[in-house]
Amino acid sequence: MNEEAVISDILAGNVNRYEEIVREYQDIVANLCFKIGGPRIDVQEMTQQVFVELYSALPRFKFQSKLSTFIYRLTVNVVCKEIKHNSRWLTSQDDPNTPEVASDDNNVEQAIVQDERYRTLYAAIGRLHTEQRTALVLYTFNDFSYNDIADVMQCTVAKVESLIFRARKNLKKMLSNEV
Amino acid sequence: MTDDLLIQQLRELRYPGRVDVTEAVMADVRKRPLLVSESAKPKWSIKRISAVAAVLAILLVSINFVTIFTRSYDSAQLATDIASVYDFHADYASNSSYYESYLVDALLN
Repeated sequence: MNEEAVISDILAGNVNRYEEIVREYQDIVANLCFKIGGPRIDVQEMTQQVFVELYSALPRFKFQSKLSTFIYRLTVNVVCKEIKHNSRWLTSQDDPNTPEVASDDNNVEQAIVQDERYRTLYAAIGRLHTEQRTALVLYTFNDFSYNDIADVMQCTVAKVESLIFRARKNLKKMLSNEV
Repeated sequence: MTDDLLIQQLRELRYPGRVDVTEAVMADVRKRPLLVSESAKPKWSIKRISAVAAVLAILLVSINFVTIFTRSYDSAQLATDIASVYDFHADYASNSSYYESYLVDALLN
């Protein structure tokens, strides 16, 4: 997809071409919402909100960064705003966003153990501070560099390094307590 | 748990459901007019112009005050004022040596 041409078309009034952007990025945005937003966020609703806000924000996009970076930044902002707004955040074992891991393994027993491990991990990242979780999720997301994360989170690279370091440390501590 | 394993597990986490928001988003955005050009918006809004005008007015008044204030301490003006008190011509008063000797004389007598 030639993003520049698509955006120019949309800005010129061809709204239908926005569908291409939605189709291209909706899975990525949904995954980002799921990981940063945690169990109590309605991923479907949040993804929809991100794309509606992105549409309004398109005239501000000046191609100074990649469109993906612009979308991730918007997603982080929308999700963080929702988390702040909605203090009933936090983990629940029977929440609707039960994590799932793509696995080729047909062994049911192993799959159950694996599933449980990821539930625990998901619950643990849900307990991290929002900034730490965001930095760590972005770090493990699409192989983002520290610079990319700093760009998305609009902070310094040093702060990103510190957030990821603390997030890893806290997460390991939480997971070792769970075992 | 090692760092690598942790990172790998985080990478493997996926949203369990299928997301397709295309229809809903498109239905929503079709209803919204896109404010296309930021540059089409006037950069000099009335609010901005008023603020700049207010600052300029304050500056102008301040400069006038400073001018009036310094002028009142202008030496020639001071000499004229003193001359009017001591009843002699301002030209003499502005001549400092004459004025000083006059003051010395006045003090000694």
